[in-house]
Parts: sequence; structure tokens; C-alpha cells
Amino acid sequence: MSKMNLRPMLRYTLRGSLKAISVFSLVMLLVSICIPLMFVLTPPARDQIHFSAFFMSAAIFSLVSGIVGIREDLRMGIQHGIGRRSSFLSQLIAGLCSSLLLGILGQLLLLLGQALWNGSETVFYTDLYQIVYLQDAEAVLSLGQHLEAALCTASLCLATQAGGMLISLLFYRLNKFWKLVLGIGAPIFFCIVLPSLLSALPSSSPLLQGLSAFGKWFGAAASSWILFFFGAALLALVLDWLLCRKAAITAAK
Amino acid sequence: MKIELQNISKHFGSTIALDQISLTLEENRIYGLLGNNGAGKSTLLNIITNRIYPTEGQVLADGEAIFENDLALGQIFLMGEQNFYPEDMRVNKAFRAAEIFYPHFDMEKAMELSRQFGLNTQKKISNLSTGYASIFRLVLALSVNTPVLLLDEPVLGLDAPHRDLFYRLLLEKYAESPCTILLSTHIIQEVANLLEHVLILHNGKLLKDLPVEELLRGAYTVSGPAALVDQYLLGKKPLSLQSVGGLKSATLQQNDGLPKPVEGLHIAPASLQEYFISLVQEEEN
Repeated sequence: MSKMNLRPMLRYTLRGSLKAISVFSLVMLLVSICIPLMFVLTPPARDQIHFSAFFMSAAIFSLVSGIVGIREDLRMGIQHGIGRRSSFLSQLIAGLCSSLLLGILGQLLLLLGQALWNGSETVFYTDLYQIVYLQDAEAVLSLGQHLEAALCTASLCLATQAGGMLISLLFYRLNKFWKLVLGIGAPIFFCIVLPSLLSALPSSSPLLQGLSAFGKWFGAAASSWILFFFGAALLALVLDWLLCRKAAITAAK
Repeated sequence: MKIELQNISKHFGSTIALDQISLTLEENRIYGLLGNNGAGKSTLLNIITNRIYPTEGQVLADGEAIFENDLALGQIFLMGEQNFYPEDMRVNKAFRAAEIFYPHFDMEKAMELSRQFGLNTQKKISNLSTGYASIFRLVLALSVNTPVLLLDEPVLGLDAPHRDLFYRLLLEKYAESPCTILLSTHIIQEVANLLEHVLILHNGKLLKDLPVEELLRGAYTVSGPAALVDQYLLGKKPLSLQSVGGLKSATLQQNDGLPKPVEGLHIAPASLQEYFISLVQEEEN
């Protein structure tokens, strides 16, 4: 540990993350104002629209950050005398900070959106947490519930960022043949093979029963969501490090 | 800072890029790393800076293993041929990033050198021409102020005035604040006067590791009419032979200085380039 030089790399990585989050926040602020405004000005045929954009956008933002960030930082690090361990740890810390920041940002936008639009008859600004765990999209959240919702966003963002890193590092390490196999095989497996397999199984099969039990556990409380996604993030990060630690660092093509 | 390579080997599948290389880079000396294309020069530099790992052996910096050792790696700057900067990064942003990583980075000098070389600091690094991409990396290398500077083909794509400017600036930097410099290049003639010590790689093996003076001691070229040269070479073992029309030239090495002049032949000390070519030819034969 004493041979690490984490500070400059962390400073560089955090600076990049903060810049990206600032731009993302600005876009989300505009989205939170402009889209509901559009519904207010041109009311849809339906009675009322429940609008929630932040949750999935933040997850996609984190996935992309994970995909592009790790390779870039490994290159910048090694060019400036920083090894893989420090670069990886910086990514991890920056990822954790970004996720928490996105969690807080999501709640701030929720409060702003609700203050702006929830008096209107056409739009109701809500959050996925409210829909899934409170089963009441229009509930007013307590401070504890806001905290829980923020942690839900943070855990999902960390998991998607770690997943993005995993995809990036896998494609970094694999040779052309395996890249092709993974690139074609993964979508086929997840979009065709797995659904067909699941639909072909009898409802009494242990796999389906296990999945159903998991679904029940996952939907029962926000803590399950948080635990699941932090666990998934941890697993992905372990795999990320295994892929990263001996990687040859070469220039982008 | 002393860099020590102990039995470094690197295999890429069945290809042996480096084979049991052991050498030491002493403090504050200018080294030349010479070798043909594919000799293993860049691989060696990439191993020293941890960009790739050796299959065997280890690199030590002041006696400490360099593996994932940021404190040691931070003392070494490699100016390689490849661009490790993000696609959209501009030159001035790269300088600012270098300021974060290197406490002794001289921003003023970097801007002044950019001006001297005519490098547009507002431009994206990925949009620079080959020559200006080299200049960008040279400016960085001359401004980071690390104790060890590794330069891989530093003048790639540079025109003659810029090459001259670079060599002058490099010597000025060395005179102002001595550091260990390792120059890996194909343009031997131009750097020959800068070098104190030469490392010659061939097919992944270290052929020579000697101070320039010692390396070239007793090395000379003989040229003239083919018949006379052939006669001169009787009983001698030339390192290399070259014939053009009726003329012949040979490079030889003997222990006791330059031979006496011979009528009709031109005898002169061998240059580093001539010696290098001869050595490689001899090795290939």
C-alpha cells in the first residue's frame, strides 16, 4: 500500500466524474422541466401521467461511465507513472462517490419536480422507488424514505458502473475470436435462449420457483434492492480487478 | 535513480521478443538503445514502465521492484510512439493533467517549448499530425523533470530543423538538471554525439552494453578499390563488407587502436552507425 500514489489519480478521476455528473445533472434538470411542461401545455388523452426519468437515466449514465472510464484512466495512469492498482482504486472510489451523488441528485430533482408539477392535473412527478416499494406513486416521502430511495439509485448506479467496467475490460482482454463470440453470443443468450428456456420450463421447476422467490424477496423491501445491487457491484468489481491487474496497457486504436 | 533489469524475457505466444536481458541504467547518463525493427526496444521500454509485464525476470528501481510501485514509476517518464491520452483531450489539458501527476512539471517551460516548436496547444492531441504528435510528447518529456526519461523514437516524423532544436533542448536540459536519459532510435548518426553509453539489441538479445568510447575502440573502416581492400583483408576478420561497383568497404575492429595508413586505401575510425550495421550484419551472418 505504501508504494501507491493514489492522490493524483483520484484527483484526476474525480475531476472527470464531477464534470460528467454536472453535465448529466443539467440535462436531467432540463428534462424534468421541459417534458412535464410539454404535457401541461398539450395535455394527453389519458387522465394523468406519472413522470419519472431520473432512475433509468442515471443507471445508463453510470453504465456508459464504467465502459469508457476504466480504459481511459488505466492509460492516463500508466502514462503518468501510476500503476493499475491505483487507477482501479481511483475508479472504484470515484464510482462510489458518483453513485452516492447521483442518489442525492435524484432526490433533489424529485423534490423540485414535485414542487413544480404535482399541483398540475396532467402530470405527476414521481420516482421508481415510490412505484415499486410504496405502491403509491403520489405518496409524500419522509426523510428516511428519501434516504432509502437515494440508496436504491446509488446501488443501481454502482452496479451498472461496475458492469460497464466489466464489459469494457472483457473486450480489452479478449482476443478477436472471443470478442466475436461474446458480442454475438451474449445477446442471443439473453434475448432468445434464456427466455425460451424459461418459458419451456414447467411452473413447478426449481429454477422458476427460485426465480419467483427471488422476485418476491426483491419486491418486498427497498433493502433487498440495495443489498442485491451492492452485492452485484461487489461481484463485478472483483471480476474487474482480476481482469485489470495483469492487463497489458496499450494505446486506443 | 538506478534502474536494473534482471533476466528479463518476454514471450508473445511462440515469439520471443526479449530473451534474458540484464542491464543497468546508472544515474545521470545518456544511453542509446539501438536495434533493428522488431529487435525488442519498445517492448523493453514498456516493461520498464509496467505497461506490459515480463514473462520472466524483474525490474528494480534503486533496488526495489518496480511492479505496481507508483513511487518508482512516477520517477520514470516514457515518451512512446503511442498516444495514451483520451481521444478528445487537448494539448493544454494534457499539460494541466501532467501538472497533477508530476509535482515538478514545469508548465511555463511546456508553453515556451510549444511556442518554439510551433505547437498549437488548443488542438486535440488525436488531431495532431505525426510530427506534431511527436513534438507534443517531446514537450511533455522535456517539462516533466523526472529523474529518468525514456524516449522511444523521439524524432519520429520531425523535420530537420525541429530535430536539431530537440537535440539542442535535450542537451540544455541535461546540462541544467542531469537525469538518466535513454534514447531509443533508428537515426543513429544524429544521436551518436549525444550518447555516453550504448545498448544494442538484436532479435530480443542484448548484443552490446558498453560506453560509446569502449564500444568503438579500435573499430575502423577501410575503403578503396576492391582488389586493394581484399589484399588488406587477407588474414583479417572483417565485421562487415560492402561492395559498390569496383569499390569495397569493410569495417574491422582490433584491440590496439587505429592501424597505420596504407597507400591507396582510406582508413578512418568507424562511426557508431557503421559499427552498428556491421555488428548486426555479423550477427545475421
